[in-house]
Amino acid sequence: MLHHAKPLARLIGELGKLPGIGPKSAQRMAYHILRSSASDVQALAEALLEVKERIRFCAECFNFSEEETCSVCRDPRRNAHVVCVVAEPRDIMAIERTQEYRGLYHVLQGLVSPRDGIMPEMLRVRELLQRIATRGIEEVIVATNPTVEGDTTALYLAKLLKPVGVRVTLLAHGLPVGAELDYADPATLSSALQYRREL
Amino acid sequence: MLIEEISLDRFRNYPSLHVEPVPGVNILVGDNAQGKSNLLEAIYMLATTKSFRTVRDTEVIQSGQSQSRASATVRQSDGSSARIALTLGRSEQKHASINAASTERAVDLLGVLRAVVFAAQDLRLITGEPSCRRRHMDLALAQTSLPYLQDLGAYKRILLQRNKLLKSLRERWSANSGLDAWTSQLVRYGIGLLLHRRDFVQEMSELAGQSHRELSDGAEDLSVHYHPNPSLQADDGPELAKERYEEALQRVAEEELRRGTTLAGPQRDDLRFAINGLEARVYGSQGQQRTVVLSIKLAELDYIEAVSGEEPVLLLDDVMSDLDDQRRRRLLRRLSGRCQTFITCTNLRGFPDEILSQAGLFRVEAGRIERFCL
Ligand SMILES: Nc1ncnc2c1ncn2[C@@H]1O[C@H](COP(=O)(O)OP(=O)(O)OP(=O)(O)O)[C@@H](O)[C@H]1O
Ligand SMILES: [Mg+2]
Ligand SMILES: [Zn+2]
Repeated sequence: MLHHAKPLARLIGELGKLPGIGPKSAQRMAYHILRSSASDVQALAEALLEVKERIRFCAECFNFSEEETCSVCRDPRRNAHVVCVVAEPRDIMAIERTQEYRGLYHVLQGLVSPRDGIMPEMLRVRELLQRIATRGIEEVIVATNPTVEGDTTALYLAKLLKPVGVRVTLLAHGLPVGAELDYADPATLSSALQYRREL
Repeated sequence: MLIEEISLDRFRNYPSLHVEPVPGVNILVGDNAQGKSNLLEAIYMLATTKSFRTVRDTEVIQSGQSQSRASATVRQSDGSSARIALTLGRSEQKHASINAASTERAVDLLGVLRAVVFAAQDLRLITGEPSCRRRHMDLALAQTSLPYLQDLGAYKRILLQRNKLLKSLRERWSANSGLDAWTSQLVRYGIGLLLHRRDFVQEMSELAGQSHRELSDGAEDLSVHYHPNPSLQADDGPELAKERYEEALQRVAEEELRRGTTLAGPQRDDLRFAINGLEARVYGSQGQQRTVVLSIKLAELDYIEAVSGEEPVLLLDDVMSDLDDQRRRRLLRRLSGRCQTFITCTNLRGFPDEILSQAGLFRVEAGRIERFCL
């Protein structure tokens, strides 16, 4: 059997670790990179390193950020009394597209899923409680995906926040069951925000 | 509803097939291992996306091939018709389309074509594990109730997650594990299953009793009993059901942590069948047990028709073999003039002339099907 030269095999191996990239696509991408000009490859390699070096998590909300805190948290025009809790930074992008929401965010960095070994203590829940206790937050909107894991996470948070004394609301069921926030169209998502229900 | 035309491509022993069945009784006759049951299996998969013979759906892909496809044109009683197709790949992925528009999930196919099947392995409904009986309820209800299908999907996933959690808590205890939230979710979807199943069995028992009286010429009285977990009263509504389920979970809470698995809920439901008050599993003869299954299947047919307003397609695989002449005749009499039916057999003996003269006759031979006349 024919083997790839070592550096090529290494590149294919690394690319194959990316989500949604199988061995065949990884090979196709590796060949493409080999054929590309040295400057293009240089730019790609730098972009990869830079994103890792310069992007970190916002110290307040755990969104991606270039600075200590992200652009949403730094924006003085935003309503700092309302926090919208999402699973991933990409959900922030989806909600921002609606142009409906003017409060802040909190990224849990996942949803509870014992099957994948994800328990509540691995999410940014303690940090959320901390923010509520110290930042004058009055309302928490839980905007997790309407999946089994999303709903259970919301339920968990609702129970946890009840004694804390903030208003807790859930996105209204305008979203189709099993839908991903990320894929919901802005109109649906904006009506779900508008008609969120109290827990 | 009617299947006007069905096509198969690399499905079991059919490289490719196109058949146009008749609206009434279709008799598929052929020697053993020619493909009779395979055709019924394809029809059932178009109705439910699942095989009635195996839990490994990929088995239907023709050996040496990478995918398999079944499609059919289905006409509803209001005259509208739809073309449905199901494609299966080796890695278990399924794609469905309705009128050439592909659907998001294969289960979106459910409800376009509805089918009730009676096959040799259905005797497990009586003699097999409780899971066989739950699967039977699930398949009938999934074809008639979208909320049931959604509750079932969610419940299975929650159960799996909760069991994983209990297992990990057994190894390492944590007070902040989210177990309460998983328990609330389990109850929320579980009561949907319990109440649906209870009402379904209540109606089934009535309908199956009627069928069984007819098939046994009044000699036998069949009753079907639902044994829900947690136990319910006949008129419990969602509120009471919720309370009972919560109480049941409370009672087993410690034991669940010790065993690392969920110990109460509809995943432990069962059904019992009694003939003249005696449990069919223990006291029924082979022929009696077969008749019970048949009565249940006929009841399922009546049920689906009553709920959806559409007669499902009836698939009878090798049904004639264990029944005596009398029961056979009564069965065919009960079916004549009703829904579209597919019956497989190895020969035409035992079919009355009035059935044969009106039926569509098809000869099945080594993955090919040809219509013939007597
Ligand atoms: N995935 C597959 N690929 C190719 N052939 C298959 C596949 N699965 C089953 N078969 C073949 O299909 C045939 C069985 O067909 P089927 O079960 O429909 O028989 P039948 O006509 O109902 O027979 P019987 O009267 O014994 O019930 C067997 O010859 C078997 O080898
Ligand atoms: Mg067969
Ligand atoms: Zn931030």
